[in-house]
Amino acid sequence: MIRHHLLRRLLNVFVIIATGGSLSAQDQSPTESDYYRLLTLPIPEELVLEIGGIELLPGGKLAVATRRGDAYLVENAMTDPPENVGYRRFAEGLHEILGLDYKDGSLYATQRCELTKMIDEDNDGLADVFDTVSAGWGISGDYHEYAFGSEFDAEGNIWVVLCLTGSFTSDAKYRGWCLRITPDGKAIPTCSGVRSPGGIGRNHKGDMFYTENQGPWNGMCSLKHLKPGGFVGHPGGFRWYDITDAIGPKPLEPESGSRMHIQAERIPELVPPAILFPYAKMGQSASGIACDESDGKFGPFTHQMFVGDQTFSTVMRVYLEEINGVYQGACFPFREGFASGTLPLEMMPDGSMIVGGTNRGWGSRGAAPFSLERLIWTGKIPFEIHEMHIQPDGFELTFTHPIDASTAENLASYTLETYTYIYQASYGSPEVDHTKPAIKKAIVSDDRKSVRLIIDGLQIGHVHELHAEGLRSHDGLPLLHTAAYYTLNELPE
Amino acid sequence: MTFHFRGNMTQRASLITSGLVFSFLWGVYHDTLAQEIIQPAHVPGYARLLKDDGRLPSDNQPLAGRILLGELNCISCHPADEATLASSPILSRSAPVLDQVGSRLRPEWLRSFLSDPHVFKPGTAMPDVLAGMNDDERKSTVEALVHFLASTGAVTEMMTDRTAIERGEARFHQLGCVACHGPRPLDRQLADASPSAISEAAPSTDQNNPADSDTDDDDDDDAPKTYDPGPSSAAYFVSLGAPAKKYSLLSLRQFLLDPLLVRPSGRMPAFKLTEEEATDVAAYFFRDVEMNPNVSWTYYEGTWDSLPNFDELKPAAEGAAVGFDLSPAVRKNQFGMRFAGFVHLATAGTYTFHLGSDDGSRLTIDGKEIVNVDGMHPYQQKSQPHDFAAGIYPVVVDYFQGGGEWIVTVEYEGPGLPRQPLASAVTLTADDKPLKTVHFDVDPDLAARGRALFGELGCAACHTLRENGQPIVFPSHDKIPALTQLNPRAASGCLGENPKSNVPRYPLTSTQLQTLQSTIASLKNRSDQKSTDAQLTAMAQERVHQTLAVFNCYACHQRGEVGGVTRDVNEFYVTTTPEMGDEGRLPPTLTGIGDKLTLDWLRHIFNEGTNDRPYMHARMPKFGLDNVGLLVDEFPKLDLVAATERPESIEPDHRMKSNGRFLVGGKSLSCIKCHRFGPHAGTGLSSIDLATMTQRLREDWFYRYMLNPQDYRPGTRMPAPWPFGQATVRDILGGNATQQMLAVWRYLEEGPQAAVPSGLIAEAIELIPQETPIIYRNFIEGVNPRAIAVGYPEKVHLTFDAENCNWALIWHGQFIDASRHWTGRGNGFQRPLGDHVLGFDSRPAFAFLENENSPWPASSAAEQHVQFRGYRFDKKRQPIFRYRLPTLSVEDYPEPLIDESHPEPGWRRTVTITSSSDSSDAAAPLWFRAASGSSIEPQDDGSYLVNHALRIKITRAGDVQPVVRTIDNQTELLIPVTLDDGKAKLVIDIIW
Repeated sequence: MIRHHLLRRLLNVFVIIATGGSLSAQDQSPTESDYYRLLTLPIPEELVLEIGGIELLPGGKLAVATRRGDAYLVENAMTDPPENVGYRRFAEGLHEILGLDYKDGSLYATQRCELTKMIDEDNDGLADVFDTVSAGWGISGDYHEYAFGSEFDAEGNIWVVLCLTGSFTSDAKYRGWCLRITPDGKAIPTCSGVRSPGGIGRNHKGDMFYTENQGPWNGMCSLKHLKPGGFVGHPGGFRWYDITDAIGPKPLEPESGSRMHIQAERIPELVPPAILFPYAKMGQSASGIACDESDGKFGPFTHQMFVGDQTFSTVMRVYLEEINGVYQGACFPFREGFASGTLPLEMMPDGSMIVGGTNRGWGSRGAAPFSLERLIWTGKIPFEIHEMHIQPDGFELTFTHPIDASTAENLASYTLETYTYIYQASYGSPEVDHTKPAIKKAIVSDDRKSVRLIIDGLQIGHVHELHAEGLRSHDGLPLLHTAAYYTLNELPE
Repeated sequence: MTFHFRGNMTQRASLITSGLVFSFLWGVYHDTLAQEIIQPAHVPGYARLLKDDGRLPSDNQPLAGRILLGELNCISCHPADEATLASSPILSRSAPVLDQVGSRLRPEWLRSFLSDPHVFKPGTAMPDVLAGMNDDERKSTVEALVHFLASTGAVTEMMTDRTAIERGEARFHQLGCVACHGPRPLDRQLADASPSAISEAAPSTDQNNPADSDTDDDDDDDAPKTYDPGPSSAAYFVSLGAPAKKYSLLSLRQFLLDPLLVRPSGRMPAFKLTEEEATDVAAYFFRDVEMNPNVSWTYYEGTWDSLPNFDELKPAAEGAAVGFDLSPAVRKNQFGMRFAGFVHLATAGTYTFHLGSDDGSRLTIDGKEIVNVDGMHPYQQKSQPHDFAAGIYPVVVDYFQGGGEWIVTVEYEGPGLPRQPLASAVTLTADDKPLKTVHFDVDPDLAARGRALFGELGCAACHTLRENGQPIVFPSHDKIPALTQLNPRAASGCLGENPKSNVPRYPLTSTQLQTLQSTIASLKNRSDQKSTDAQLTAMAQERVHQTLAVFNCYACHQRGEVGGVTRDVNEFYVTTTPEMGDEGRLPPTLTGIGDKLTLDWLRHIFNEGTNDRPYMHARMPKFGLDNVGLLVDEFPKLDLVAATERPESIEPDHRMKSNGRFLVGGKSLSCIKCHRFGPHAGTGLSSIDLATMTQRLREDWFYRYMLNPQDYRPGTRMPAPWPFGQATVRDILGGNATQQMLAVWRYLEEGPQAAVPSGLIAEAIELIPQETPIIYRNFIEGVNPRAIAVGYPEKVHLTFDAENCNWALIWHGQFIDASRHWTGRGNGFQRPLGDHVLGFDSRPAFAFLENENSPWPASSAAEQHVQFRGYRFDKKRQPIFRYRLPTLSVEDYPEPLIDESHPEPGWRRTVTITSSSDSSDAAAPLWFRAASGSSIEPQDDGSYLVNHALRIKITRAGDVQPVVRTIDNQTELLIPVTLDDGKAKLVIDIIW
């Protein structure tokens, strides 16, 4: 018992240093797991399952693909609690699979060198035919040259985002570009300016997005809209405009040391990031993307996007809106504590989310080398900022529960700060150009489900970091996550 | 010639001279006859305290005064008592040590400099001691001093080569020299960097703002349109003058090896350069000096893994060069060069020769091999002594380059000769004269007079010059008033308007002058009151600030709000690992440094310099503990955070350590993914060494840092291992974060001797085909990156090239080790694990040829429209590769071939061609190339022997005759392909 006592004492000392005492064992506040619980799918000891792609097959079998290049069919993956989960190898030896989808009886794997259709002709559970659908891009032998593939879009295309050679250059064809691979295997150049993706996925409208990681020309990790014809920020792959006119002539070179929104005024093709994920606040390596189209089976966040962070082993939540034809919106913390570095996310038809993890080569908070987990809504609705809308003079926040008007109207319940990042050729950027806009007024709606913040000093091109520490629900609960980070590209009329 | 100092006259001016920028007020001190503008003493530490408009804020006055007293070395003449120095330290910059100065500096330079120091070397802090003399007197004094100084030694010339100059340019810019001296060429860089830096007293503006070009844009948008390009450091750059006029290449190089020997006060720190690095940096300053070619060379192209016999090869080019210069090489890979000349060894004795290269090289003198570093390797150097009689000997340096970096360095040392490039002693023919010492006839009488003047004039007050170990003394030293007894405003003193003829003149701005005067006056009025704690802290802060400003630590490091790399030089701070971001290239912050580093490590850094961050090209140089040692005391006073006690371990020490080892390893917190551990590179990145961590860091700081690295290094990529103080690894030490941190520390305290954490030494992951083949698509050594390796249970394996649609490698035995690609990020190409590895020509196996003499196409597979289509498995799960040619599709089917007469299996290659279009009128006949090599010999049994190694038997080809032909030294075995009913089938057996 002495030992136990000592342990408690020591733990307390450090917890207090770390959090300023805001967390303590006595605190009965609800936690993330009260609303979204994590199920761990057991993985047999002899399997190395560094997940790069996930797909649910007709009949309920789950297919997963790995960075080692294998694909497995997982039986009973959707049991709760997991029972008799079995793995059977479907294919092996592909080159780092980072994208998996299913169509007409075949699995499609995006691997480093090509998009491959894997067919099990004799129905014995093993792929027998590997058809090269497209090898429309190059590889030079640099490990950095990853290829992330989307699922099929409405036209039957798979979108592939191609990491540069290293961080700065494009030594092989279309590195640093996004290509669309048509059903007949044509590779259509779609966007330039990609640096180092961590995932790709579409929203409920069918528009495609990918996650970009901090590095040259990217002060910060972000979610970027793959608008056909767009240039998404890194000029390292500009040389390939010489071999295609699919998206018009080469844009102007961005000027290093500037700001993204200033360069966007000069360069019409430049599409600013829809969401900036503030470094070390939201995460450090943005990864997989999923959109909630479960009609409420995953909780109250219908049509919102969910984005992984590999370093933090988290899933973040993103609310997007389109203003003057440009995507922007807010990101919120959502769920932490995944076992390994979260990479692909996949929404299941039952409204749960399968999350694959790996931390090979890049460390993560979740210390397991790899993991396969399922995130399930418990049916309880957390008190969260539901949506965050830009308005000409401020923001409108909507909530998942009715709010307490007195705390919501009290300006002391909020803090707001803005900043942006240097748009530069060298690696990353600190936060710069900080401002503190004044919140003039907080107006609660009649139904007590939203509040309008009237703000003096909104900043185009900045992240607006809002904390609503003081706000309470009608039932007296604080927000489960008090922070919201809104990326402001455009002001509405 | 007379000089007047008019301290009360000021002139507002701004100009660029010698590339240096001044933009502030100064007192004009000029030659009234020649109207030459004199520049004020340039004191970077002082300049840092000025505002943009050149004014000195009154708060900074006392500190600025002490900096000037130190940098002008006032107390070498005007002594200050210890009490004065204790409360107001003066970090005196002593003048260069002039022992054997004659062997360092050219006499012509000494003459010009002494005649007119402030005109000849703008910005120098050396006073003009001869200013009170008339022209004749001055001239004869200078001459006597020059003869005396030249009598202490002679300057030896040295030679180098163009590649050294190029390396020197990179080193000068990347090692950190630019922090203090600015980039080269300076004028262009500054003009490019910011026009505002040279405009008068302009604060930094938005010159880089592209939005400015829209001048008529009526801006009603209140979004910020400007951004701060960051501060400039151009005003602090220290001029280098023209080193090639001052030094010889050899003496500059010797100086750079340890500047503290000559300049002990550490303003020019020692970068711990290797001999080669010092030669390169020095050579960079001799880039404009014309040198006559002194070596003949021949250049060869070819692929070797050791030095070929160049005698048997035909050179692709030849010529003459300055030194052993590789720059004539036409290509960067696969070439060789032979250099030849004559080396002049003036005295008999033992010479040591140093030969270094990447890849191989050999030094031969007088027909004898002296040093040999042959073979493929990264830069490697060997040294070998050899006795020679005095004489002239033929010298040959042979060199070859395979791939990667390329360099050759040849140096020697010998009786009375310091180590230097051998090229200095080499001539093109035996009759040419080599470089030698700079000729200067010392007149002994003049030298004797100069020696006396050196003492009497007061040169010896500042400069140490020892003869037989005894320094020359300044006889009148004790007649000069002490610092606290001075009247700084005396008209006849060194700061006065009408100085006496024998006092030195200092080129000062009016601000500098006033600062000095008021500081000296205040020293007199010093009171000895007891200080409060707050005052003591403020004094400590000021001492730190003074030291960081004087030694220009601020040029690289930020502490608080001051300092850091500026926009003028930012681009030159580079890293071997760009993925590490700014942390990998910019020197770390000094904010809180006294809390972070142990006292021993601070001492070590100041005493030795460090290279703890080898990925960073900029180096922390040695400033000397004697010079900056006060920081060891002051940093902790200011920075230490109240220490918490080390918690008690809940497990015995040996278990704490094993837990720590587990936590650091790859199956837990994975510190080793990003950190080096002793000699072992991290599996992802290789940032700062874990094995020296406890030596460098204070334990208490470590625990706090682990809780939130962002608090200490904003923007760091280091994640919080225990986010919010919580353990993510719950099954070690009860998931107790504190105990886990303690365990890591205890483990790391074992230093480089600690057992290596798991996951760092990659264990082999051998892929062993059991019942069916194994597919392994990855980067295979020697094959296009689109490679598909296939291992077969029969222990015969191959790699198919899916870019060129042809076989690439075949081998026997073990298949492959996947650990390179399946551990860490998976960088690089892996060679097969087995034996008998043979490679095929990488071009496609099929081509349409006009006739049988048309060369095999050199164009890429894509240009020939050869397209990989994938593969399918047969019943034994053996792959059948599929690809497409214009109008044709092909299946390429390898099967292990067991041949009783041969110890290992071979291959049966079955190739099926199917027309995919109705039109059979292909542009030209189709050919299959079954083999290519340097020799293909038909055998009696109908097979072909390729390169005396590989046997090919065409088992089925239809009714056609194979062709063996030789084009451009390459022999090929071609099979014409004719389609029968739209189909053709070839079967080829391969045994080796």
